[in-house]
Amino acid sequence: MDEKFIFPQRLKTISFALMAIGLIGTAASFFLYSDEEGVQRWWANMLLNAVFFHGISMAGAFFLAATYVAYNGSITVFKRVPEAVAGFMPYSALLLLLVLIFGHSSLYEWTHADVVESDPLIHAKVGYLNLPFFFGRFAFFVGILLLLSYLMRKNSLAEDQHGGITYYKKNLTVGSLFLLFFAIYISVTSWDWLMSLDPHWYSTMFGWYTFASFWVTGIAVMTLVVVYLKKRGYLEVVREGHLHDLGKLMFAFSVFWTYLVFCQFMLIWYANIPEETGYFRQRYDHYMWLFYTIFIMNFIAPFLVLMSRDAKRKMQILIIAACIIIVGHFIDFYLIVMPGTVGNKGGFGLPEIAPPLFFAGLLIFVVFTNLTKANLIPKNHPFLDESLHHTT
Amino acid sequence: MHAESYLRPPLIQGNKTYLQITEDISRSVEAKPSRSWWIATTISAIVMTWGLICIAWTVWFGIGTWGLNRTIGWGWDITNFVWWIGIGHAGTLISAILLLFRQKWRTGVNRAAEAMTIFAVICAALFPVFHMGRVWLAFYNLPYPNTRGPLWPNFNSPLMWDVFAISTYFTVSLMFWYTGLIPDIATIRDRAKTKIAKWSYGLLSFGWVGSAKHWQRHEMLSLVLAGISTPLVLSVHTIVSFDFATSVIPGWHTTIFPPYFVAGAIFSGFAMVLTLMLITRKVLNLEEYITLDHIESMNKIIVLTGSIVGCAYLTELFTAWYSQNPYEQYAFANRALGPYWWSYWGMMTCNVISPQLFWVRKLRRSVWFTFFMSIVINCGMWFERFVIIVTSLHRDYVPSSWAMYSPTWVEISIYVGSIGLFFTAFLIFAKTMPVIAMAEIRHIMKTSGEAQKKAALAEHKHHGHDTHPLPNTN
Amino acid sequence: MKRYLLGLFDDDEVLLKAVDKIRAHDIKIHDVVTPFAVHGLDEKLGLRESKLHVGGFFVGLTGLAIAFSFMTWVFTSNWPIVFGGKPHFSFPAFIPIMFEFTVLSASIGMTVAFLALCHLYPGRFREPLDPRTTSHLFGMVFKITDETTQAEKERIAHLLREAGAVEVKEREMQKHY
Repeated sequence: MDEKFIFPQRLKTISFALMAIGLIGTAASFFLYSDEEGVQRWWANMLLNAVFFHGISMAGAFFLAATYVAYNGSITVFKRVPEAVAGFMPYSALLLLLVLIFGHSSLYEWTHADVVESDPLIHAKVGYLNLPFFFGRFAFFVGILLLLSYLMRKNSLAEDQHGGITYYKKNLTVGSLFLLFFAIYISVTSWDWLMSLDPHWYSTMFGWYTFASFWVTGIAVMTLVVVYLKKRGYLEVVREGHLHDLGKLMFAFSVFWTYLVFCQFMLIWYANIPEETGYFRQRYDHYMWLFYTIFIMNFIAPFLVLMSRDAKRKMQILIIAACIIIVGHFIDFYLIVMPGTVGNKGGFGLPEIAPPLFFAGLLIFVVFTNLTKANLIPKNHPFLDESLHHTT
Repeated sequence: MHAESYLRPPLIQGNKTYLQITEDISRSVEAKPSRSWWIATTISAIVMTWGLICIAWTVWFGIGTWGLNRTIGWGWDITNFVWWIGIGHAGTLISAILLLFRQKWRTGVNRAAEAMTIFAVICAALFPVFHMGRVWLAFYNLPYPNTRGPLWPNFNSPLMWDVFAISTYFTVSLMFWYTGLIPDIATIRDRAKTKIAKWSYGLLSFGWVGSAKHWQRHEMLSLVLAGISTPLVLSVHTIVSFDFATSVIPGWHTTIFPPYFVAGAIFSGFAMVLTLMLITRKVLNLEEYITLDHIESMNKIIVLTGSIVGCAYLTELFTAWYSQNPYEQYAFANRALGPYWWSYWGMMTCNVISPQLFWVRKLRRSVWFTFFMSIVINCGMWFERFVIIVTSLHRDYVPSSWAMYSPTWVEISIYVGSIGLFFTAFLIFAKTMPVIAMAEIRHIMKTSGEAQKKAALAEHKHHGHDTHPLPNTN
Repeated sequence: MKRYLLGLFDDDEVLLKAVDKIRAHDIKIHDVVTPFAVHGLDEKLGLRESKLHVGGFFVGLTGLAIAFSFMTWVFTSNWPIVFGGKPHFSFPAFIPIMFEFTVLSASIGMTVAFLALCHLYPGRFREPLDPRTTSHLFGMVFKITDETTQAEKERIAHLLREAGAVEVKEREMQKHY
């Protein structure tokens, strides 16, 4: 059961190359697009990427917490993968914090004193939409979740050393607390970071919607990591049954995401109240292609690709599905962020291409470095035996 | 072989064999009905009959016998409808979603919960049907070629969606429940002593003998039905929530309604499952099959869904303020502080605050406390629907239309009668059919039986795995 | 009169091993009757995978097509009415019924297919080979024809006992089992 992961040199080179190209591209686009619109667009992209990759790391920790609380006995063998993804949280949170600190005035209308003065609606919301409270919420929720996910990892590593079920029980408690705070975190931060980009608009479902996107993207990323490890000859104990579970999760939560998106859209479309429809009007009129693309990439494609049992058990198909889902949800976030910041002028060019490369490179580097830090199989986990025998 | 973690508590207590399982569970069907069963069934049947009389009264004299008025067109009727539909969600959730998530503890309670679903949906359907007034024209809802134009029903209306959703849900739940029941009916048939029992269970068992090929198809059917029932369960309460959320009434039109209604439905459904199962396990001596661990698992789902519901309440409150929409803000202030404040605070107390007590392990595992809480939650979820429906309606946009609503004795009687119907049906079911899915319990006996688990554990110890209790298998 | 040889087992693991042993001797197992779904039994018996879900998928697809085309026809050509200012072809409002009807068709289709394929229907009275096989015993069934010799029967019975059968018996049935 001892299995050490060694960061392959090729992958390391790729991750550095991605980071370097991304960083240069991002920096270049900052200078190339230096007019007011360009700066706004640059920050919008930074926010988009920071939130998106932050969501992936959160999904890793959520995956751990949820499986602990649900007494899940099948994912244990590859439990180090969500742990490694969750280990990206400090980095992603820091990047997001930097983006919010330095970019907030380019991103959020409500941070401008003159807008607040002239707009009675935003003025009335000042009790919530003000910078000290905004950063206070960030610090409180992200801080607590960081701490809890750190504890989960710590207990898990200690379990490897000492065995027994005390660490498992500790993680059960930490996991339930994580879920509790996560529920409030996802509601509040989705209003803060994304919904307040359109400060007039409101939708009670927005937190759920963001959660579904984070979650399904996170699962797709974890699937890719598991498949990569398997292809490199690691994690041989991960069998078709475990891949099947990951495929099922991607399938189910793609449907869940669609369900939420449909409900939100349909209710607003049906009631046809101008305050609410503005959000979709703008996105539909000016980004119609993307509007349909996200439905195809995030619903129809994964639904058809992953429907059959055999498909969920084949690594090649899982890779295809996961890639579609990740790109599809990136576009989904693009569609949330861009109209709220740059209005109808969302573009596609260097500022859009470079930052995701940097973030992806960093994600790869951090995740695989984390994987080298512990035994790939949690050898003393009380559900390991059950997980090893997991077949269907 | 499936190796189960030693951490998982046994789901079947005592030293059971396949034969023992059959005997324990069939006993309640084969034995003569007890006196308490007769008493309970008689009371329920009387209550049900009174409800039916009041339904007849409504049909004869018209909807004017109810307390509805022009402002409040939906009162207890739709409140009860949503309440019952919500309760009807636990059955399919337990059998479908928990099957897909491989929660083995579902096997102890799924059969009874599915039966409960079916009866609850029947109770639910009573209310919109009789609320139509001219109930003999109910078939106008169905799309069939007709002489009225042909004038089709309005497929764009959420009420029409409801007709489809609920009839689909009822049909699929019924098929799911009955196909699962067939092998168990065959067991009862093969054990029957009297000719009449042999004949009637023979008729109901459809000729099942348990061939390998039949079991294979049966497994496939259950799995796929579970797969498609999962989105179905979500869709049903989603569509019920659309009845409200597609409108422009403050307090009704909010996008969180679909997932929040679903969570609330699961919440109330589990509460009702607990109410029923706690009585059933006691009366039928099934404590070894519905163990404290089953109860604890269900309580965990209650605390989870209760918290989701609480989170949704707070989201609604916050967004009402955040929207800066005066109508929205008034609607929520009115809920908490208006004339129906008691229902709002009843809902908050019963649904949000009290389930949080289940964070305490001791309370989760207390039978009496769980029973008490299950009643509290059922009340709370009733209040919730009352708050949503009546409180949102009674303050119309035009203050001259403001009104108050209180139910008449007819409405109260029909509601109480529906509870009588529910219990009558359940009691008859519990007496005539195995309340626990025998075949599924046999299936998990080897991995989750107490004796079997102990033996497996002893084996581990024997091999000297005390410090690292997990054998190195690969 | 149909005749069968029945070997009864009291444990599913023993049964699974016995299936392998008997099949290794090139003896045709007519059927295995069990009180619950024993996992892996179908593979060991060499049964083809069930295609029930494929049928369900296509019936569901048909239901989807019917629901969609019917509502479209009603609202765009047969009786177009404006509801709440929505266009005649108001697709988002069709989705709930399309979904429900798909699910309804698929599940009815599959359940009917299941009952039909297994010849299960109310009023089909079947006498079990042994009443205990729906409760706690697992029965392995062999067909006995007129050509089956006594020696052959004894050989099967012997193999069954060797493989762990608790009881071996012959049954005569009125109807084809």
